[in-house]
Formats: sequence, structure tokens, C-alpha cells
Amino acid sequence: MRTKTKAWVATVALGATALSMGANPDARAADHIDSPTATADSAADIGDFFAWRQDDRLIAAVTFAGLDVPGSDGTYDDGVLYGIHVDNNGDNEPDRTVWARFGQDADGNWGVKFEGIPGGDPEVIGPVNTELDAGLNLRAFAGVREDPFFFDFDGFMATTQTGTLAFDGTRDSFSGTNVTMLIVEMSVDGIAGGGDQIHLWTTSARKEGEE
Amino acid sequence: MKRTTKTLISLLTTGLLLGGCFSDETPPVEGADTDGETDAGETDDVDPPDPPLPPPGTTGTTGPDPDSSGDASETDGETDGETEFEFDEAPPEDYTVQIDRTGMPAVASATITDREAYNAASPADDAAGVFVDDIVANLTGLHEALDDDLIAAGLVPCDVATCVAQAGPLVIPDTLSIDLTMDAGFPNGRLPEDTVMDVTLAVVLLDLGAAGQGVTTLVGLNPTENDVEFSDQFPYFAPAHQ
Repeated sequence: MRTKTKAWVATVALGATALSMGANPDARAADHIDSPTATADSAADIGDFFAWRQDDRLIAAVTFAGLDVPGSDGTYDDGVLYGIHVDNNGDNEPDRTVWARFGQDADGNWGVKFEGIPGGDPEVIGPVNTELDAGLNLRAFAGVREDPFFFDFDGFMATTQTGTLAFDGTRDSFSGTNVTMLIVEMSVDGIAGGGDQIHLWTTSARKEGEE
Repeated sequence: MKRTTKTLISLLTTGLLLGGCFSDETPPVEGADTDGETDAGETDDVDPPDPPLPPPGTTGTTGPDPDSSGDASETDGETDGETEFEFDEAPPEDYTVQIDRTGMPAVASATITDREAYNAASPADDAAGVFVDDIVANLTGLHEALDDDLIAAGLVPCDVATCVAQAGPLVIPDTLSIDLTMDAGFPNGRLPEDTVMDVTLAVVLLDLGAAGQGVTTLVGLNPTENDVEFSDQFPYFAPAHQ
């Protein structure tokens, strides 16, 4: 099977070279090519969502404002409310939600406020780009990071536009770019409602009239 | 099954090191966060009680903090003990305009036509079947366009009914599901290093019941690892490119 995969990759790579279409400058991570509204609203434009269990904690991470350039400070907007939702009983409704938003101090420095981290302090506030103590040995972070998404987005676009597979396994459209992230550790005990199955998703929202 | 992915990944990893990423692996400074900051309970803004946060130097995790080079290290630098961030105090229910949502990687991008409606909706809407027709129509279109290529590459595409049966449980509703009793790794949650796109493509494009085909068959179609290494220590994701 391995051999087969390799042959397949080679085949596809060849096709890609022949095709090679231009990149879409608005490419956005795993949630690429988003709606016009989300694409126009970088701070609220979610790219990727990660969640995994590590021992007694559950880590969730959200990326937004992708394709940021090296050296950037990140993208912060005090009008956006981010939510990381956990359904712990399978009804597709959130049973726990971590809310996050950004704000500035008098000097214009950006800070972040997390609320509702399961098992953690009710509120966690601190500067961006700083590891924050969320209580119970849990930690939270908001700030700019290297974009963790790896994907040949150019190949994806070419494939959907031409109807011919055009992926190139050596082309990571997101290499060298940054993204702004929320990274939160939650206590597994604080999340689970007694069951072993949990379901997570993330949202961004604004107030009516401010979108 | 997910661990197989990992093995495959390492096997297939070839020359993906792209430019511009002399990564700093940033050993996160553990003790840096021990105290300081926020403590519970407080409903309103920050509390000056404890020296808000460790001094800039101890923030190791952030690695090269973009700010620290330019101005006196954002926040900490000049606000010692005075950090008073102002946040909008409106309750979550006031944020009525949902701009975006994501659970599973790539679902909206690959299979949804009306993304405005999709972004404004919820997993409950997904489960109620609101977007099923859209997803099926897009899967059908995808196969009409790509099946010839798949077959030419020696692969067996799924017919639409099979694709829907394979992908449906994974992408509807659009949430990342985790069985806490199982090892972590896509699709049991998503680790930073998981090759989620190729696995998802296999589920959507291939007949997983065909001999020799599985969820990892397409791994390698796209890059199999990030341009910068991840860390198993908080904050897990690599410092920004400078």
C-alpha cells in the first residue's frame, strides 16, 4: 500500500506541474475560501480548529487572521467574541463554552480575556503573546504564531477550478506565514458530563450593526 | 488507524523543508506562568493585586515576541503593575451575528455552496439536515470532475451514496469529536501534526471498502508535515515567523 501511495503521489505531482495555477491570495487555512463576510473580516475569519486530549487536560486551539506576514504582532479586534464550545452529551448544543475577547489598555497594548475555561479560573486576563495561568495548572494563550496548517491550497484551488487533480506534496501554501491563535487548556474533569464522548467547535461573532 | 497515519507520514516525508522557517523550537518556559494574573472570581476587569504577569523575559513561550524587539515589549514593559485592559462587557448573547464557525477541517470549503448560511448556522442545524443536499450536490460534482483522474491513478472512487455514508458521520454535524478513552489523533480530535486534509480527501473521494484502500491512502498527496515543528509543551504551536 505504501508503494501504491507513492506512485499515486508521483502521478498527481506530475499533473500538478503541468497545471500549476496561480494562488488565491485569500486562501485561508483548513476553513479556506470562506464566505465573503468572513473573508472580509480577518479577525473573525477562523482558519483551523484543533482539539486533543493530553492526560488530564483537553487542549483546544483556534487560528484566525491567516496569511499574516513574518514579524507581525497578530490581529486583535475588541469587537469580536470567540467561542470554543463543548457538547458533552451529544445533543449538539454547547454544555461548556470558553469565551475569549480582546481589549486594550491605556497605552494601546492588547490584552485578552478568557471566560469559562472548564476547571480553570472563571476569568483569565493578561497580555497577548504571553502564557497565562488559568488556574489548576491550566494555561491559556492568545497571540501570533506560525500558521500550523500545511496544505497545498494552490493545488486545491487548481483542482476545483479545472476538474483535474493538481495537488503537489511538496507545496505547502502556508509555509512561512503567521496566524493569530487562541490556545486553551481545559480540565477533562471539568468538561465531561460523565460520558466519554465530547464534541467541539469554535465560533466568531459580532454584535448586530457592528459586523 | 490513526497511528498508521503517523507511520505513513514519517515514511512519506521527503524534502518538505521549505524556506523561511528556521524554526525556533522554543522550549516553553514552564515556571513562567506560575503565578500572577487573574484569579478567578472577579467580574470586572483586571485586578492589579498581584503583579499582573511575569516580566517579559519569563514569557518564554511566546518565543521571539514581535513586540519585544520594537517597542519596549508590549504590555509588560511599560505597564508594570498597572495593566488595566478594557474589554467589552456585553454578554455573549449580545453577539448575535455569527461570522464564522469551524469544527472539522475543510468541511465548509470543500462541500458547502452557501457559506454565509453555513457560517451563521450551528451543529444542531447540521444534525437537522439543513446542509445535506448541498453537501451531496458538491460531492457529486467533485466526483464527476475527479473520478477519471482517480481511476487513472489506479484508485477506486466511491459512488456518491458510499461517499455520503463514509463522510456523513465525520462531517455532519460539523464538530470535532473526541472519545476520551481513545488515543488522540484525527479523526479522534485533531493534533497539530495530523494530516487531516489527505485523510478527509480519502474519505470523500475513495471507496474505503475497496481492496488496498483506506483513510491513509492519499496521505502524501499534500505536504505531510508543517514547515516548522510543533512542541509537546505548551503552547504547542510554533512561534511566529520573524
